[in-house]
Amino acid sequence: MIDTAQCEGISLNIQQWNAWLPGVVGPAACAQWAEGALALDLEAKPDVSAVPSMLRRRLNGVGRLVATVLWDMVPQASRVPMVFCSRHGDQARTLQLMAELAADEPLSPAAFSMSVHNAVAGVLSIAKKADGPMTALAAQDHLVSTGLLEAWGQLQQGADEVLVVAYDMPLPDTYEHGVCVEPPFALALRVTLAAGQKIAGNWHSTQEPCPQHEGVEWLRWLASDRRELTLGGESQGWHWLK
Amino acid sequence: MRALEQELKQLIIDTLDLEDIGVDDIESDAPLFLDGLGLDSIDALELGLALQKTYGVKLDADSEETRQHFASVTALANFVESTRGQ
Repeated sequence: MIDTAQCEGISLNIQQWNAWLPGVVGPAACAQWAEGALALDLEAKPDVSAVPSMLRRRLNGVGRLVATVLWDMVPQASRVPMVFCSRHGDQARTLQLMAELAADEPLSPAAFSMSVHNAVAGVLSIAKKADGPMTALAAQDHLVSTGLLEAWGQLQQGADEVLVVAYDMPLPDTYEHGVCVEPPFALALRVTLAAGQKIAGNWHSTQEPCPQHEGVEWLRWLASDRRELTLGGESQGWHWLK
Repeated sequence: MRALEQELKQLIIDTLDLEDIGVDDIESDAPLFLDGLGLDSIDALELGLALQKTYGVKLDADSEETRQHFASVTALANFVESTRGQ
């Protein structure tokens, strides 16, 4: 049970979730991983065979992460609002385009079209003929919390449910200095103000160091039986209860 | 079948990441876009760039002639061949 006096931030309910870490696929495997009973297999790749091949070919690293967690959660012709959250997006593709520019080569139109932050949302909305509102967020050190704050706002505005998907991949080696690099992960949450697993989050000013892997730590908390999660940050921290 | 048509089919497959499609799956006379192979407008731009790099041909993105050249593999082969004669 959540003591509302302790937490005046946001509260919402998780109706369904799905997640992918390399070698850890789905909620049951995530629970085992959170207990320490299952290790990551960093060679593992997401299975996206369900996505039609003409659209699948447009998805590379991060796009395939999103597709693997979201595909079964979005029915055909869905109108459910979706919030896509990624700190870095498809940075490998952007780097490739910059290298082509630097070499005075013409840019690949297909790579360019997929390099924008909401490109994955676009491909999936075409594949599912889903025409609900789509939001693409880039948050720094609170990816999942920021996505849930956005979803909560949309629920307050009258949406019945919102799908939040947070995902990131390690940056290319060129960017190795000074950035927290998480293992590849994707987490999809169907949230509502109606029935479901209740969670509540609040934010506070802090100078505590940011967790190395905010998205992964949030997922570890969700999949565990731990009640509380406290996340530091450069200027803001988050506290979650379930 | 003309060698150039085979070559163009392979170019289409490689350029557009058609993972599950082989040269024999593309019919020379079938439409490349929409109902035929199912390519889209981004593919058209990408293919135009690949043709420019490989054969040195220039295509105007807006012209009606370009539409005709892109109608099928046979039409593309005819176009590439016609530029070679110039």
